[in-house]
Amino acid sequence: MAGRPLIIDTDSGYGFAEALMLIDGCGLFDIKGVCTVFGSASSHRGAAHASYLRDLCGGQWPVVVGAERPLVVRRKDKGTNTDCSVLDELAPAATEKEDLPEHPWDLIYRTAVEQNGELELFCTGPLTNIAVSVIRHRDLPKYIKRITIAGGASRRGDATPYAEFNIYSDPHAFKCILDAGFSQIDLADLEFCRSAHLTAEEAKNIGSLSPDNPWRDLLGKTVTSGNARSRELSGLLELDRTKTVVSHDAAAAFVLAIPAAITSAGVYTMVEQRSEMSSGRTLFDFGKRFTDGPNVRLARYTTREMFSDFYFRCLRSFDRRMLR
Amino acid sequence: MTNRIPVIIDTDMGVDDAYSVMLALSSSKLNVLGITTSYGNVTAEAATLNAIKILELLEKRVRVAKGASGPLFGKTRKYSNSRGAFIHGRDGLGNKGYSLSEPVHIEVESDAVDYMAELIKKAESKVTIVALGPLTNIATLIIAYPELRSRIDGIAMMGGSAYGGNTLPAGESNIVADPEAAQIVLQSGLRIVMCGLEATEKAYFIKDDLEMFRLIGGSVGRFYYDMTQDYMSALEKLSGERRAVIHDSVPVAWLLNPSVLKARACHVEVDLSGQYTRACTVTDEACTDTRPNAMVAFDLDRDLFVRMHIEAFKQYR
Repeated sequence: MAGRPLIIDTDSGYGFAEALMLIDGCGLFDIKGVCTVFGSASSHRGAAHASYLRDLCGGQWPVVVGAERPLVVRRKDKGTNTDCSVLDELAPAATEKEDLPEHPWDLIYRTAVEQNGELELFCTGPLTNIAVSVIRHRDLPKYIKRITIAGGASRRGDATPYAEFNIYSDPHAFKCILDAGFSQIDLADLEFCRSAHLTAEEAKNIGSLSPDNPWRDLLGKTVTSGNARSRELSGLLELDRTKTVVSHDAAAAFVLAIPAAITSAGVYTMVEQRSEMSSGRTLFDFGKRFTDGPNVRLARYTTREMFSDFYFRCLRSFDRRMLR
Repeated sequence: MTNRIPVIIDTDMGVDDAYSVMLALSSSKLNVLGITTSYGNVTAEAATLNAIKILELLEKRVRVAKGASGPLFGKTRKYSNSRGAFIHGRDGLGNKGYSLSEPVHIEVESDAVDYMAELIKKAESKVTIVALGPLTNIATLIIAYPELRSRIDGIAMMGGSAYGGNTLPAGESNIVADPEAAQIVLQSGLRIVMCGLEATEKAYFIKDDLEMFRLIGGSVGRFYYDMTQDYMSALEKLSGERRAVIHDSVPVAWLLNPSVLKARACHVEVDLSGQYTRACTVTDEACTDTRPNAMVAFDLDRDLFVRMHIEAFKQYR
């Protein structure tokens, strides 16, 4: 039985690597393509990383290069929100090539039409590619079953005091998506990671995986060492940095894969675009004080043990693949 | 008593302001030098009248000065159908201010800012300003009397929020009323304790608390009980919870006993340009590339808060 058709839109980074491992490892999805966007790395570097990771999975999906800059805003460089050095080492510049002479927005639309309304999108970077897809193909939303986004912050942000990096990087793109008429937008904001993360003890188990597991070395170098990004997120979430390993993209992949495990709330969501101080801040009308119906399903809570169990089941599925 | 903290209370005298003033005036720790008023929950005129009425009810002789009728820039809000009238009643005192007798000792100074300056100059020690409404009067004082900054010990303000708002998605009422004034105050370099919604929404009384005030507080307790009924009903319609949230007592409670709050040093600025975030007090807890300019309250000991009010009402039995 074919899995749920899915296109992943990503700005690369360790988080994306973990998310791809979960998505491919859980066996629920039929990955139709990976699109890259600026963010943690340039779109072109991200494509090199994504190609390397696809090969690690033994996948066949195309990787296409997308937007290198946001729709409207021109920000001073805030740097990247994650360290891609290990991926850079593993995916040399020589692999910077496009698999398809096609833009992400055309790949997404073409696939959405082919899948007759069953295609899902999973976004782990700035949302520029998806916004361009909407702008280029206004009827796209009716062909998309669901969008799951790693983005937003209902409390503290990681790019500014309130804004989360992916939304901060292109707030107009997020606004475009909110207004486009998609039937379901699931948002895994930073706060959701409070209940969806690994303990440092659990992360150490990655090192004891089968030597044949293709993810062991990569995740061993990034996850188990508690990378800088994880420490930053742990600090933001007021978790113990020495005892938690946090990945926003992995938490969002859990929301994508197992929605039944997530306690979500329908909430009207706004994004600030004009303010210099608050641009990219997501505002959630939890009390329905200011607006009417919800436009987003916000992941609020899951059981940490369920997340951990899912994580390691997916990871170990690659042991079995190698044995096959 | 020389060790009492000299304070000026700047208020837009609504229901919770009345609690705050009562709490301040019943304490031997504070020396309330004067009360200044402004628009906010009600008009400046109504706030002034309410302040005088409450002072007479409490039998306290403190001079009152009427202040700003609107924000530094832009238009004054209309009050007839405003959120303030809905919550605080048409008179600002839970529709029970009408039952109080007309004031006998009407001693109103002509200008709140000049009066604050006069009090600060005359005070034997540095003065603390308790800000319970929009910050228009205080911002004007800072601008107009820069030489007095060294005579101000600090500002304990009810206003702002680190996360979320109550009048706008990210804006708290007092800051929404005059965001530019709030920014002037926050940038003044003065010591500031910001009692925002994170703490003040935990400063609530339930029915049993109010019954206690009524039983122990004599005629004062009975009036406060009556005054709070419509206020609590209005808040219940907004939040679904039958609680009387007494935001404005929090800065006074902190002056009386700092352990009532948990606060952290943060950098706070007011967003003046946002579509959705104008008037948000942008609170940088990590102080990234900035220095702290305010102690921001994030939590409140409600039991202690209630006990402080019980002790205050006992003085009126």
